[in-house]
Amino acid sequence: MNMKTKKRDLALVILTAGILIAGLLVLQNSPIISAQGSTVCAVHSSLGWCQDVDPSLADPNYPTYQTSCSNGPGECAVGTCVNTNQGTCLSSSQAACDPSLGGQFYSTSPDNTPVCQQGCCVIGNEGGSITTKAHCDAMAPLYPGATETFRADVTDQIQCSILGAPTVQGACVYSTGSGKTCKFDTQQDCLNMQKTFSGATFYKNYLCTNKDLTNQGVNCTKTQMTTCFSGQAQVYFVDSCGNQANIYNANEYNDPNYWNYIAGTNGVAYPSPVDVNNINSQNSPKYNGNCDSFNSSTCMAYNRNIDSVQPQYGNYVCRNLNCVSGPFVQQFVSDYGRAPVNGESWCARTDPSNPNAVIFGNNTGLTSNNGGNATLASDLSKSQDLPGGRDFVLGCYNGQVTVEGCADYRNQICEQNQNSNGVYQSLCVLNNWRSCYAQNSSAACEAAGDCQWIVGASILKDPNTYLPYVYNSTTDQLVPRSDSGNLLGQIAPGIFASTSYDSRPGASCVPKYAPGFDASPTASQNSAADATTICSIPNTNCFVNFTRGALASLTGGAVHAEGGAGGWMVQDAHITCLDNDGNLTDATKWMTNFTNLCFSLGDCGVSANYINTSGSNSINDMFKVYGNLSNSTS
Amino acid sequence: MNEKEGNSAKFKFLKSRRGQVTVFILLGIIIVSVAAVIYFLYPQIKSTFGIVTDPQSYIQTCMQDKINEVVKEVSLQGGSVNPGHFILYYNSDLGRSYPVEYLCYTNKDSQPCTMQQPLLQPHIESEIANGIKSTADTCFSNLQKSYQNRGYTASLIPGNITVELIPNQIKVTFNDQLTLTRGNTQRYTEFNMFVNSNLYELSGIANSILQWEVQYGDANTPLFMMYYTHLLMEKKLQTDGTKVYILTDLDTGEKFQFATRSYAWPPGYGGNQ
Repeated sequence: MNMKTKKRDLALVILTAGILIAGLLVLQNSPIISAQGSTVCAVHSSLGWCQDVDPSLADPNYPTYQTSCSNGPGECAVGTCVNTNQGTCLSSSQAACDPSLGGQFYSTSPDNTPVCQQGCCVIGNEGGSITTKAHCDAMAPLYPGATETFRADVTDQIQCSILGAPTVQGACVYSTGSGKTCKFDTQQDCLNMQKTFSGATFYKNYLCTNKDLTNQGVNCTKTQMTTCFSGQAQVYFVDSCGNQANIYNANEYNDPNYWNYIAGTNGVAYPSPVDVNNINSQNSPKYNGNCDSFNSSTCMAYNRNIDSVQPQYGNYVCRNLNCVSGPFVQQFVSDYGRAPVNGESWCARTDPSNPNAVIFGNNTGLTSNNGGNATLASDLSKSQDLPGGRDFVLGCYNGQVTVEGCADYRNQICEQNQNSNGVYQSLCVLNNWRSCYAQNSSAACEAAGDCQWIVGASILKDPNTYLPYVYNSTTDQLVPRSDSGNLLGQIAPGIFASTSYDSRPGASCVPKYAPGFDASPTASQNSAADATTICSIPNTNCFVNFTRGALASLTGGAVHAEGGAGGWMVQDAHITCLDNDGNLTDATKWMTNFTNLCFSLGDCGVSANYINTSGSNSINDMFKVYGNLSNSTS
Repeated sequence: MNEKEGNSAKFKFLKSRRGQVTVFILLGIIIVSVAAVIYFLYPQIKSTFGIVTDPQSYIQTCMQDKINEVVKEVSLQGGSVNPGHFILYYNSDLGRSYPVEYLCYTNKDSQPCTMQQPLLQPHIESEIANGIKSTADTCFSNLQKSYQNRGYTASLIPGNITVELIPNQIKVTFNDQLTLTRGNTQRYTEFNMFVNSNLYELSGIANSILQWEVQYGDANTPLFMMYYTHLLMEKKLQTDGTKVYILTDLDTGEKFQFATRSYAWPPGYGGNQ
């Protein structure tokens, strides 16, 4: 081969390598379809925008990426979609932010997008609300003539509401083609009206029904009509021009001064808060419209099916926002001695002993004693967490009792607390149980999540001997057994000298609130495997080798644990069958210990479900006896 | 009394003053009743008999029911007439199932959802416009014909429909252009309708909920209800981690419902990943 050929070949190799490398670089940054059997990030699929799906589900009109959508490839990069028409800002992928609908995409998060900075928006008399500048700008045209104010330095809603409360209000009198008229407004807005209606005059603290204004030709008179105004909780009278008059006070209706000036000025008394609990008083909603949404009432259209009293004038009334009737209210009154108040929430779950009943209050999970360590065969017997059961949060909001379920499979539990005013506040919190089983000390157990350390039996086993660990309470550690004599290399009957028996009990870190498993026919293989894995953790064998006494035939073959010529005698026993004193434990007690341990792990063992229907397994499925005492000599 | 004598008695009654007064009273009652019926049922009578007084009123009457129907459908299905990706949810208050669209979704467990409708209000506006288009075409066609039947020269240039969600109302604008000529010419360049609805506020609250779902995996329903005192906000958690939110305006009974799936927790250790 001559030099020319060699050079040509070398050039060919280099060129080919270069093409391959370039191709790889291009492919890495291009959307491609992956090989069958793995998921791709599909920009659009039958599951919507930017989901990891099987390639067969991807929409062929959109690209796909051979990576997870959580990595934000291409159009699936997450940023902020701004609705330029309405000024809303939402986290979104670029793909979902459609420009034809007015969407403008920013690659930054909403908090870091300047146009999406939150602040206090005040428009005219509409009150203050925390929103974005863009939204504030979009809202302003809906209230012609109203002044728009945006305060980026105010991000607290209460402070914003105070800012939005009208400061100086009164009657704004102006002339139109058909004569003089009046609008109840702020001083600032009345000034703005001068641009349209020259001669607009502001009368501070005047109502449009003021007799002085009537003498000037303003034709706004008092009416019996009432209404609610946006952003305000109270019931107001309105005059014949549709203006806001004073807060509804039926006792003052016939007082001329009440229709002259704003309440709280010029001798017009400001009404005391309405008493929604006493419908016979002069401060009841029948006569008083000074509602207070922060406590217990707000302005609503009168509804004979809901409101206990009809207003004397008009069709609007202060509605009681506390829950005085409806589902669960009676039980709340029975349990806690009072009706639930607006904003109150409390926990509930099905009563295990009565499927038609509901228990209120915190889920206590496993009970404990002995300074925090629960013991088996005593406190674990009846956990409140039965198969199918879940926690609920009940709430009283705006006069309605709401029911909100916490996550299924007890992945959430309800936590109920009481604030300084004695009002209950509850919410669903994460049941952090998944790391419990692996903990080998009480300290680690308590730090691991919603776990509890129980003494009596061990889940964790020594990988060398397969024997359950024992608990060293001095060092707070699970440790291998320190029996002397014949130690078992594998699970098999063994002989132990009682003088060298390790009498320390086992211990386990178990979920405080036992999780649930998906036992439905459509459960995935993974969830079914989880249930099997978790429930089999404490599986164990108790081998007992009995010998028959010489006089067994006379005693009917009864088993005597401690020996005796009259019946079967224990020749030797596996250590798991021995109690703390090294004696062969009572079979019932041993079974109970492990039943309760199973129960604490999740929907394991034998029990009824949350509506007291028994499962299909029996105790014989949990415990099996191998061997036969009747005819053997040993 | 025989037949001859009976007829004679009747004739005499009618001839008498008392009889005449009675007849006039009865006639008066009938006339007043008919007038009342016409007054209260005039729009329906007009539309039944195809009588058109003015095009704006005609379109309003013709489109009212369809707009209400589409608005309700869109409100109960997460903002879409034909949801693409949805969960079939049975609303016990309404007594039937609805395909409720996912507005934020992930098919993974323990992951935040991906926003599916970041432009919810424009999307709803577009869906309503598309949902009423067919009926609008029919109404305008009938309007044109009715004027032609009355001897007008009626020319119609079809236009698009714009829908705007505004506080407490939905504004629907038909940009069809109608020119009527009979002697003089009248031109109508757009037709406006206002429908009472609080969808503006309900969809705005839905936006806030969706932002919470993306950021935290859940929305604090008590916080919303304490701020919006006329709102009932229900969150129905499904077994697969889906949440169906139902927002109800306690003043009007109007509902908006939608679905999300965010930071779902599987059963067991691994669940359905």
